[in-house]
Amino acid sequence: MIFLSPGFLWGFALLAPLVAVFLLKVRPRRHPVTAIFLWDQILTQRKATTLFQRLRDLLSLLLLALAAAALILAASRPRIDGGDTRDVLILIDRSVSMSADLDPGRPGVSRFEAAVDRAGALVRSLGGQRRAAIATVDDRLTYAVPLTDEPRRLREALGRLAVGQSPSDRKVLTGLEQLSGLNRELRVILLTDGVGLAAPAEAETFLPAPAGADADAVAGDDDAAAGPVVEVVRLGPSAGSAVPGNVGLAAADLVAGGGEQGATLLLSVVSSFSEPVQGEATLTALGPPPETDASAATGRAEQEAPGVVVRVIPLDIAPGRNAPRLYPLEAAPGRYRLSLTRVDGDGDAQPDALAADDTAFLSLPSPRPLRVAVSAGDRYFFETAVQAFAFRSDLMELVRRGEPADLAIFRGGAPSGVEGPPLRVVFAPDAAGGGVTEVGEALAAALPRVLLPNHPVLRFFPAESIGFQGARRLRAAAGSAVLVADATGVPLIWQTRDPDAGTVTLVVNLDPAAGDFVLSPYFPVLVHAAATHLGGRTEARRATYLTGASVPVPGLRPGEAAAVRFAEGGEVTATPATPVRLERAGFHVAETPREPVDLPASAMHGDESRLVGLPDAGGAAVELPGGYLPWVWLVVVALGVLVAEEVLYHRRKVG
Amino acid sequence: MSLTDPAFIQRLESLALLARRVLGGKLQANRRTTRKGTGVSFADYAEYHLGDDHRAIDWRVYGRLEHLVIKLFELEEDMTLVVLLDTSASMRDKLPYARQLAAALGFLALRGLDRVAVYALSSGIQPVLETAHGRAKVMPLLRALEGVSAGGEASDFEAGCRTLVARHRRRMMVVPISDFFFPTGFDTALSLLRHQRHEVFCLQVQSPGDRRCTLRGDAELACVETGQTRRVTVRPAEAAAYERAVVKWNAQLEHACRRRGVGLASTLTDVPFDEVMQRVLRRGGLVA
Repeated sequence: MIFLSPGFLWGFALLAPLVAVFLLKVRPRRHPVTAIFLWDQILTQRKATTLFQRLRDLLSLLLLALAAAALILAASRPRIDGGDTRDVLILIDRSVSMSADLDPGRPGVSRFEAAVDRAGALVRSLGGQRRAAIATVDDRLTYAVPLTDEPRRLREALGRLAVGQSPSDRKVLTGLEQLSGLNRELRVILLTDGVGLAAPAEAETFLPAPAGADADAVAGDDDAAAGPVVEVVRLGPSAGSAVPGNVGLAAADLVAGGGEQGATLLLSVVSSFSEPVQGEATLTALGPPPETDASAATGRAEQEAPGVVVRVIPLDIAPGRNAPRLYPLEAAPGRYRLSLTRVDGDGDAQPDALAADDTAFLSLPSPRPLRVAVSAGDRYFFETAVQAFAFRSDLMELVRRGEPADLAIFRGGAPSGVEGPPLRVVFAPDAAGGGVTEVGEALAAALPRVLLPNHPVLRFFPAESIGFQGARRLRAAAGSAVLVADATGVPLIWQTRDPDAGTVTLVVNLDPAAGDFVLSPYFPVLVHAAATHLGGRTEARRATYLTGASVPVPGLRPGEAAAVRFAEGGEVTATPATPVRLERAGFHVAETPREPVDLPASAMHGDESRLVGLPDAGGAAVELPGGYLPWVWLVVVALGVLVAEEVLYHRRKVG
Repeated sequence: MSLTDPAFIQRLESLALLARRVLGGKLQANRRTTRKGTGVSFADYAEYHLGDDHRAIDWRVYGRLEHLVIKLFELEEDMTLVVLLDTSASMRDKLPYARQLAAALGFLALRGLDRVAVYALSSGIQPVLETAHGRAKVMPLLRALEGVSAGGEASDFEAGCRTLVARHRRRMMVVPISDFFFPTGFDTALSLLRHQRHEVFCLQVQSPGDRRCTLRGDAELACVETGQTRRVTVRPAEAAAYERAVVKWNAQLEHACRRRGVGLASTLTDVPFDEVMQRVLRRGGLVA
């Protein structure tokens, strides 16, 4: 046993005056009597109690001394845990599987709630004598409270925690192990059900992760085995015991087309049951998307629109992940809710262990195509390049001269100022303006060098193999982002943004007509890449996103920002460089400068739905410290002893 | 209230009037003795019985009637009232009340032309007022009683009575005024007085605190007379036992008095003294 405040042990010196005070206190008050011989008769009859009365004073003194000793020991803050003074990092798994019932036979307490309770007990056991931090773990690490020795802050942080709908990511655990390995004075305790902390049986293939999301986040990492430095406290059924029965959506998608039906639903389910079960998938229309109904742009249209069941799909669900299937539908653009229900032989709905994975929120978008105008003497090749990518109605649309356009393609120079569309692609500029400040003679030969290889415009365009014939010695406007430049520094492809005019111009310093570049297959590729990049159409619209994914707002152009309102409440601002993370399932709405855009999210994580805490999830099971500290018990003992002494005192005083 | 206070004396006068009305004007010295045949005034004849004094036989009557009769004479005797006033420490809070009672008794006796003597009773007896006679001794009696104070040694009723009977051979009325909390008891003393043919009337004066125990918890009991101490824890059971012991003690006193033909009047100090005296007069136990 050690004492954190041994100075208080000097308090034992107070026992001597305590005894003296007690002896003075217990001296009874003198009371004159006129017939003491009568009292003698009584005392003779009750002689048997005299010994107890004598001992009672001694017992009372002992009790007081014991209470004082207990209080002094409590003040000295004894510890009997072997002197472990390390800081503690409490990690609580808040992945979607933690919302499952802790005990399948007793619904009501989720694994996450049990984890928070265990963390509370751990905080209580620390009692402010050691620092602790609390963080949540799913596919990323989020600190709820930094290292502190204030139990109140820790308890408040625990009270604020809520289970999420993102999957677990084992890489986060690996990073924590590294952190713990670097800091030996840190004890890391992970409260988890172990689901998703090992390599999944198969990769997500039906719903690729969007840009900005780490596609390998849920993939296994064999060399990331959990080491002993992270102590794992398992919650829920241990490995080897029966897995709670659950069926969930593993993947769902809704795309337009697919034949004469108008739309196609892709559906894959997963089951943790050991035997085949039956289920039903119900697709319910929730109303129009926010692009067509401004009143629905509140982010909660699914709660307000009347539900119309589009289709009910009976399912025979096999154990494990089921192969995806396609279902043609008659569905108009709008919002949909896909609900999965396990049913028995009579078709009655049956509960399962996890409810979060039973619902997917889908959106069948009908975005307006990007309207492209061509302003060039030789329009044919340009218009052909645009029409080559107009086979999908939601991508590009060639507009005639004079009609409003989103993007214009120029050859020979763009107008300055605000005239014309705000998005511009300029080929072979021959005059200053529109991102060009100075025009010189033609280059004899250009040796292109890619300066921004990851730029979307250059994704499918091999700039270094292009001759850039017809290029001139130009000077880009200040603040331009040069994608490709000549070896002498002459910009060949650059992007300029004029905040005053509100225009974004991509300048291509080559003449398409020279060298028959218009006949090259890379000419339409360049036109397409420039148009989709400037139009914010780099990524296709999805029917739904996975919870936990970081999503770039579709249609958001360079330099623009969108306010994203979450279905669960709250709002953030997203830009093309800062995608938005969708924490919870529901219809989130991004308010772009032109239109509101649906960002539906669904908790479809097949490995989470299986609820299997894999045995190699990491670390050996540890006994979590809990209970109250010794000083608390000492105070309790002292109070109890004082109460007992008070009873004796009361009996002495009032008989 | 001082004993010489006119208001107090007025109350004594009222008692005297009451006594005259109750007793028909025959106070003690005026009443004739019941021991007929020993006085100087002829009263009556009585048939002779074996054992009667031969000197009382009226031989003239026998000569005429041949029947033995004896002459009875009345004796106008004056009684001596001896007040034994307990002045032990235990009477400290009750002594003023006891003095009032003693003053009332002495006043009535002196107004009735009886003799009065007052003794302070503690470990022995100390004369407070030597035998006095006549109404002129009323004020000396009251002043003497005024000077009596409590705080003497432990009271010894038996020793005091032995001293008293040794001093007064004549028959007298002895009135002990005390709480009768005598550790050695009162039986022997009462028997001694009665054995000397004294009339005895006990006036027991106790305070409410003597009969009721309001003490609770740990206490050190200290005897006011002997200084002895006892450490006790007084619970309701002990308090009740004490009160039962007091009741039993008083019952023993009552029984002892009844067995010996001794009058007894018990009172508490919260009862006005003249009320007690009226009750005694009406009952006739003391004066009549």
